[in-house]
Amino acid sequence: MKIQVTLNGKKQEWDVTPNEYLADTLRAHGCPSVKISCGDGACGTCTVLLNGKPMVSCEVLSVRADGAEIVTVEGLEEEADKIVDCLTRLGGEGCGWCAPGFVVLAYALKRELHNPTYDEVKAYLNGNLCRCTGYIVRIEAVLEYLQMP
Amino acid sequence: MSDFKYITKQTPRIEGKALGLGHPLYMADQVRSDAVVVKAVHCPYPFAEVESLDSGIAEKVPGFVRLFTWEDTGIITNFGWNYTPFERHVLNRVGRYEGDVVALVAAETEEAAERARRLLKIKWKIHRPVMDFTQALGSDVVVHGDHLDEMYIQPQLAGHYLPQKNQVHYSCREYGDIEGVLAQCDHVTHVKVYTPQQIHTQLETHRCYTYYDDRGFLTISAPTQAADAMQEDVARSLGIDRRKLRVIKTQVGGGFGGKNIFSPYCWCALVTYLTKRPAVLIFSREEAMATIGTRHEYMLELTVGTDRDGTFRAIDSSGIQNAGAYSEISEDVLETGIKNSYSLFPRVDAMRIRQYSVFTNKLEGCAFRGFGATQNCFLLNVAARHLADELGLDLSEVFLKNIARVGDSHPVMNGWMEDDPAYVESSTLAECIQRSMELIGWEEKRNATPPSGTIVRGVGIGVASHASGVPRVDRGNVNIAMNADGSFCVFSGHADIGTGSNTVMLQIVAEVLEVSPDHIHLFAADTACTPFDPGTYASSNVYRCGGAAKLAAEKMKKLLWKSVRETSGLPENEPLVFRDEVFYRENGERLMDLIEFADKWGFYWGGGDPLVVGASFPDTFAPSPYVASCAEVEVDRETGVYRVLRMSSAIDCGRVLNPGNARIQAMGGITQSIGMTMFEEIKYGKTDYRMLNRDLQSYKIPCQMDMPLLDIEFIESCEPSGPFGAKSLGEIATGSPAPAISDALFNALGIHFDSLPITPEKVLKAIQEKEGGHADS
Ligand code: FES
Ligand code: FES
Repeated sequence: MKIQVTLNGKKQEWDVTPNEYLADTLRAHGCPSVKISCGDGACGTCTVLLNGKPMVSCEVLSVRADGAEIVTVEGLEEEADKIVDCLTRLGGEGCGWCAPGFVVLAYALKRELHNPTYDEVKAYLNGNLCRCTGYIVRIEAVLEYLQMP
Repeated sequence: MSDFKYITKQTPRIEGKALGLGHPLYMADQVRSDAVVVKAVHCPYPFAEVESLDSGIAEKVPGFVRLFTWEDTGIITNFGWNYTPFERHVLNRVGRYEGDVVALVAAETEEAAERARRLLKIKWKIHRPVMDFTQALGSDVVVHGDHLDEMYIQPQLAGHYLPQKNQVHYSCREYGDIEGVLAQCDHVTHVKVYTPQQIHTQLETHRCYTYYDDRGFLTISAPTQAADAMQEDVARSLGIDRRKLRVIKTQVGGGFGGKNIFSPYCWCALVTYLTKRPAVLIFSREEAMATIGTRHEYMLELTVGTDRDGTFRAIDSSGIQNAGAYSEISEDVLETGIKNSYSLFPRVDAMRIRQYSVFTNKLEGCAFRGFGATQNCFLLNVAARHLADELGLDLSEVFLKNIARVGDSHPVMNGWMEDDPAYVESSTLAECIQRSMELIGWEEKRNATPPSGTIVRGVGIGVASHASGVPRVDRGNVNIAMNADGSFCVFSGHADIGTGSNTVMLQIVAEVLEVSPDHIHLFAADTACTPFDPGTYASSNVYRCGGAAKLAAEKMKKLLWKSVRETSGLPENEPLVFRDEVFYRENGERLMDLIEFADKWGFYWGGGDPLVVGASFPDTFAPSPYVASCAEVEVDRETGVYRVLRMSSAIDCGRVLNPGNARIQAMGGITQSIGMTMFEEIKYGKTDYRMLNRDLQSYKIPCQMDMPLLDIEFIESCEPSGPFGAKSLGEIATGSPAPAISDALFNALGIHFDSLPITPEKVLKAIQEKEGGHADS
């Protein structure tokens, strides 16, 4: 069936099957940043912005995204650059698999929380798993990102 | 502090930006759309064989391509290194653990493959399994009883490997007169510990992509930890000429030892081999958790005899390791685990270690960060804690009295080089112990009077050792070439599995050549063009491959300078100055920069042979890195729920070459180990023995909120054999959190927790038992 979405600012029409999940559809439409690790909403590596809200795209049926505005790391441009710079400057990457999902979440955090504390940042990032880094550096990276204009 | 320009400086990952921005670096991003999709057919019981398989309906699914069964695979193999026993085929009619793969389905699409897989009609003959590894040795259930005659056992394993008894290996080391020394000791302590099966849980599941390239080479493009070993294994398993197979390592989304099992690559390659079509196999989370491998489960006992002041005199250990259904590298984990952990306390008069590895019908054990040392270090730490408690000593004192010091030597350290004594050449472990205690506030917290309320706190300490590679077995090999544009290219067979070793390799080469890493390319790993590398394991990338990179860079530097003189018409011994990548004569006369040199040297006139060098670094010493960690816990005595509030770790990894990387490696290792200490464990059903927790909802790994405050400090030593004094860091951090947390719980509650994971249920039960007047758990 056909759905219409705005992906990273561009209007698109996609042909999807009724049981297709958004994470797969996005990967098939030029968004390799969307990573799938669990497929059941437990890890957050597939996080994208759906109508401005961070969501795990492996749990959203693509048909439900009809009419939605979707943003992935590919669409975050300079903001993604800034977040990634904060992370890499601190040596904050392990295997990198979880990084794009984290970038989306960090972006959403900056828009949602005003002057958050360390613990608020920690709680906000909680849903996104990482097996390599031990997480702390992500909080540090976000705190640096929040300082940026 | 130092006058290094590139090493020791925080240098972002060379792939960091691309990874963060989600560029298509991983295997899944590179698969051709015409690749057939492969699905594995798993055995649904711990021990069962296929009586009949009817694919009639499955084959009617539109898009179905082909079914592959044991009938398509004749050769006995092992999905691993060629020194391990060959005890299975690429596909097997008998499933020896739940998840074992009996067949494969290939179809045009994911959906078709999934449907076809579900429509296979399989009749299973179910066998009674052996699940309890403490009962497996000599059990009437013989895991490999049905095909003993077809196995291939390497001569060096004969005598220890007795599959008819479910025995994978028996290690017995005896140094000195253990009974005699124990009899003379003032004090003898005995402990028993249990450590569970833990799953690697790399966020990128296991996967493989295979195709025939334009010249007819069967090409495997996959996240692997060991391209060369995998090439050997897949070629052997398929019965094809290794030279017709090419392995290209892609970005690895987490390894931790678990991408050293070669089964997915064999399965996918089989499909391409038999269909001549590109094929892709991507495991679901559940498949990855239930099929690939796990940290070895151990039951260990230790008797330690000491003087009255806590000085160790004798260490006597025995135990059993659960290899699971296939032996894979269990023998190696057993032996290396012993070497790397008992090296921590070499100052004893007698030592005896006797450990069995056994087959069961559980998920097979494989390499997992720590490699047997994590479990044995836990044992040693627990023994030290009981002992300190019994003698009324501070545990840190016991450690300081007994740990390995520079100059120490003991045959247990020697590993494979039996008769060639190994020495501790560098260690700051004593300082690490003191520093981690300072950071946690040991003095005032350890002996604080416990509050009367329900919430109590405690601090504890743990120490661990590991190794940097496998002594006298491994070599690092690196080639460096100068390119026509004046840049360099480093060729290495190592696999950066998310540790940052690519970046560190470039830092090392840059440091030696005095050339920015931005002007150096890196190729790793592709069996068609990178030199042999045994693989990323044993924390060896920086020490071993970095060692080779340093040697190769030194050769390149010599060759480059010689060639610059030559092309400038200067005598061989003419001193040169190289500043900001420009050559000058000593008198300041500018000669050329690297681009100018490359132009002169490479083009039509006046040049010479291309600048290409190679160097090899034998891992002769495999020096030990060390760690000491302190933990502070807060326990609710009413519920047993506890939190780790803070951990402080001080680490000796030799010289730190990339501080940011190093910190992440340490934090990641600690986090993984916190998971193992507090909740990670594979659970099996009590009656049907099915694996209960095989997704990320039911198998929990540490998340952001589980994290304590972490202080990481490096107390550098300078390892004489390592590149710029470096040792290793990949695994060492996993050793100390479990001991530190269990000791902190002891400090808080006065109860010894010697079995992992230490769940709130266990804590509560132990508190209740203690309060009810029962013995410690
Ligand atoms: S893949 Fe979507 S939450 Fe894990
Ligand atoms: S960096 Fe590997 S999972 Fe986060």
